[in-house]
Amino acid sequence: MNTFNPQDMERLHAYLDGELSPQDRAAFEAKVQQDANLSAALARERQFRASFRARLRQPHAPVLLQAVVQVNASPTPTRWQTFLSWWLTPKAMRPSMVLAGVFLWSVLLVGVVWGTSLRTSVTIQQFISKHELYFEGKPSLDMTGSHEEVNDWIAYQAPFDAKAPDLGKEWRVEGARLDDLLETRMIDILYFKDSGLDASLSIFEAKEYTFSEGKQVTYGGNVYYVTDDGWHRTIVWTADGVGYALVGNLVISSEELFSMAAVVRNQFE
Amino acid sequence: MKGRIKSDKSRKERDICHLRRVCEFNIILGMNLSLFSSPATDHQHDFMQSLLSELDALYRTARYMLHDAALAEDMVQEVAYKAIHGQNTFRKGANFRPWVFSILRHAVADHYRQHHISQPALSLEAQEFEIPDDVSVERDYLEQVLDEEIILALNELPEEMRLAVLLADVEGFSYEEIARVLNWPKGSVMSRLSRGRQKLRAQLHHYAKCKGYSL
Repeated sequence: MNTFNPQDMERLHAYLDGELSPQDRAAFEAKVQQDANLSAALARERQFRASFRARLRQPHAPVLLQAVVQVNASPTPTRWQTFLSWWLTPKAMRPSMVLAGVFLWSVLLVGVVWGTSLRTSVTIQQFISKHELYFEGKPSLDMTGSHEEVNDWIAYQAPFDAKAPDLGKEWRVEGARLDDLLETRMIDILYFKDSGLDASLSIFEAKEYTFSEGKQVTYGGNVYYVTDDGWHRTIVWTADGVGYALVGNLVISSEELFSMAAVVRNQFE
Repeated sequence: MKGRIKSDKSRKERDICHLRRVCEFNIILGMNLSLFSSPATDHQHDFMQSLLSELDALYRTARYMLHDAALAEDMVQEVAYKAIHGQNTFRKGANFRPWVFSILRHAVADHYRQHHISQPALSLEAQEFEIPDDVSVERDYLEQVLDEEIILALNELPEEMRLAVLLADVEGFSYEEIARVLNWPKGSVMSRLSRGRQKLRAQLHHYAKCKGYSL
């Protein structure tokens, strides 16, 4: 058994590896020529390497592995692409579908609500147009109701008028839109809750009144003044300072309000 | 078998799921987003070509390090995945082979550590060793040993030394490349590699002799 020192074996391997400098290489070759054992070891090592390399270079990467890596080798996606593709992968399909479903239902719901709203507004608009439910270019407050309902209501409320309590309550308006009035008295409030109506007619008495800014309207031979307090929107005042204001879900025209005022006034008279 | 690795079923399944997801991801990406994706740059193209050209070597090395074809396949996929997603850290013009094999080396080391696979103790320090002189030049004793025995002999080497021998003798890595893969000082590669080789050859020679090989 030959014993080589580690340096000799290292040089032998480095020589075969091509890692020696030209000087070391020349020196090693000279030594090999002088040392038969080293020469034999070199030959053995050379043969061993060839066989070893041939034996161990056999396995190649499976085709599937190459395919997977090639697929994986797509260009690096942008954040947007990553986001979108994540949502498109099967694993994420369920939440995607859930979100899509929620979205579709939301769209449907919004569409229904919007459509209903549109239909209602059209109806009101048509109703207003048909029944002349404007006063001073503005529709009455959020009151709805048909012409027949108004007539019915007038008939309905008439018996109550006689029994209407006189609240007798001093009602002072401060900073209100009733600009022309210094003080008013609430005479009566008539409530109407029937057949879908939910309205009230407030009757005021202005203690001191001037209608310098109110619009003067003549109806049925009587002079009325119309003001807007921002809430009732339309208040019809008689010349003697009694105001009628309607609020609720009943839309009436000025004509009807005048009629109503007349009816109520007759009750008082 | 010492150092024999048994593939972990749950890990394999997880890896397969992961890879399937990656494939689906990329297939969908390719199918649906090709209109939006910017063309690969020359650097990316060269990178992928380099990766694909090293696939055989990576697979071979992983297989000899792990002794399990399926596990080696999974690991190379993992290495490829890491390489692709970490290609920004690869400096343009640098040597690709040491870079990608260092990823493999870390992956293998992680695997050993996670599975508590012990390594044979063998000093990396150079020492005097004996070379059998009854090995004929004319007859190759390596022909007498089976592939499994070569694997066994490789298993007798510590992980890093085994990897160094494989890189040098099978894949033809230079000392500088080996030093970069294993993070060894360049000057120590020659001595450590020489020692590993001698240990391997002595073990193979021993196997050949046990099977009746003689002059």
